[in-house]
Amino acid sequence: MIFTCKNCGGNAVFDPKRQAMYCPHCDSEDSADRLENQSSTVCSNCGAPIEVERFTSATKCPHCGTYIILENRVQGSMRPGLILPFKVSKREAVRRMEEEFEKRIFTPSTFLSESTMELLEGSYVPFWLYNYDGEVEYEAKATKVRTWTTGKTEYVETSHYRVVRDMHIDFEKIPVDASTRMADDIMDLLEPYQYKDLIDFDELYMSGFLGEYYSETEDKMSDRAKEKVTEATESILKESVNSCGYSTVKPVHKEVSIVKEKAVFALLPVWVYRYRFRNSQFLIYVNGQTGKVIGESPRDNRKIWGYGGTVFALTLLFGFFVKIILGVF
Amino acid sequence: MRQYFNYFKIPFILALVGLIPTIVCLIMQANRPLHTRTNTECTTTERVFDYAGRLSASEEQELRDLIAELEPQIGCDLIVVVLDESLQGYAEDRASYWGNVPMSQYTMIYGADFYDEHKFGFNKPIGDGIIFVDNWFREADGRVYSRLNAFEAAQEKFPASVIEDLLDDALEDVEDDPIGAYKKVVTLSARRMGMRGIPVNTSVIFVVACIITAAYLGVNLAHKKGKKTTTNKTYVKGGKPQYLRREDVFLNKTLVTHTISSNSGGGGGGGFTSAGGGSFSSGGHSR
Repeated sequence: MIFTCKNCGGNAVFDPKRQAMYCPHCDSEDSADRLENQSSTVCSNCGAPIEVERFTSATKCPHCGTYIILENRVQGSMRPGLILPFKVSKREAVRRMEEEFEKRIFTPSTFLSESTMELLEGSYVPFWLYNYDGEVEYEAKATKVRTWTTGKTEYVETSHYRVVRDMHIDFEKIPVDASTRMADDIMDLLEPYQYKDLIDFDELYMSGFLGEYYSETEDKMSDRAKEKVTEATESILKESVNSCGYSTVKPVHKEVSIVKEKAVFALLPVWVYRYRFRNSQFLIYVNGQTGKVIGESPRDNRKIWGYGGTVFALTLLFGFFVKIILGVF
Repeated sequence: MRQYFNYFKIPFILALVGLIPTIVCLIMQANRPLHTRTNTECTTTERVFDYAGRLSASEEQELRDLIAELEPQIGCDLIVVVLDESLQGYAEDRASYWGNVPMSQYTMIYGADFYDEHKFGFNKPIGDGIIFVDNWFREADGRVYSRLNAFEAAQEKFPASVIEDLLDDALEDVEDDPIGAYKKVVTLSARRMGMRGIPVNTSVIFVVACIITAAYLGVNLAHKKGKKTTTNKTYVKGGKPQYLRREDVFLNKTLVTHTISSNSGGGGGGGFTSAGGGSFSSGGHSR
């Protein structure tokens, strides 16, 4: 499926800034027509062959640049229930990256140059959003210790408490990325997404972006979700007990049960910037909704030596200034 | 290059500005009168005698360099002796001259005799100078004694009370940092003798520069992939758990008391004449 402009026939794409379909060729808005694909291996616009990887659901024709959505990969069990449309435009993503990396002084000067910015692509990453119910039954013995001194006598007062916490925690839409191509730790760092913008899936939001369907099943990824929920539950419990200012806490009874309620397949927006430096590839990710930037930037060794050497020389110089001045007064 | 100069703009300007007072100070230093040593009979050029092996070779050299820098400024010999032996037998042998002295003064008579024996003194044999003796050995009373004897011209500036205060201050951390303590004894003594300026060791500058550079590189190289911005409650409905039961029940209270004990140390001193005829003041410290 491709979206074509009713006015000029060009490829209409979803524009994050306008939150509407837009034709970059004739500047018209909301004038998109759906055009079904005849084949998933040939571009519907120019007829050139396209190579599609196993889990790809939306791609770009390498010949004419048309964004193609593969209908057979957004249907049936592969159809996402929800989608969070891009809110951050490409220009805004570049600005966010510049803001983030200008503080990293050792990045090569070509890192965010205009020519390499063409390598920035918006992509919808498949996620499973899980709902879990957590139940906690907890009882502990705790103490509060107060010490004070009067004259030469030190007093230590210990107050003993019984602590009880029984609670119910509803976890909603715990996100776990369902793509083997995306590193779990990176996707975790891109969180949180604001779920108020989640809407029912429609292919038109994918036009202008790349996309994937899940390469990991809901059952397989539920372990990661459970791990996240368990960790959060333990922390909430700990926080609740620690906030009372106890000196010691000794648990007597603890029972935590975590039960999965449901899971939804959703697509969440991510800008991905691929930069090659000295035979290594560096990947930078920008949350397509909030603009949060994640990733490790390359380091230019010449800059490290140059800047480090200057700091060393300047510190020595100031040290000698101090030595000479202090030697007089 | 533009980014480089832009980045270091402020430090470069500060370096240029700092150059002016530094040059002025260099000129002042060059014009400062220094004393010339006139004692030709001193039997040694050594000033640091670490018989206890408490200092490393480099620390001894550090102390020697400091003393060599300070002596011409104050016109006074500065000697440091470190021991780890009982001086009881020594004091008994020397009782014919010194009489029966208390344990706290063993280091005093050892220092005075040492000074006489080597004919220390900046202006003449057994002349102006300061000798500091630190004996790490615990004498029969269980204490470790240190002593500072100030000879001739130095005597006026070092009454016993001043010496005791100086040693209390300088020897506070001697157990953990002997070189730091000995350098402090030497520096405070020189300052008392009218030394101007605060000596700063070149190796300290070098070490500080290394630390600052390492910290700078560490901070700028340690960028993580990103910060976690979710909390435990990000995905909790309503932002908080529902408490079915939340209790913090006070059960009872216990009270324990104990008495705090304290300890103290001290010295003793006054005006003396060494066997060689040099008059000196002396003050001590014990730990």
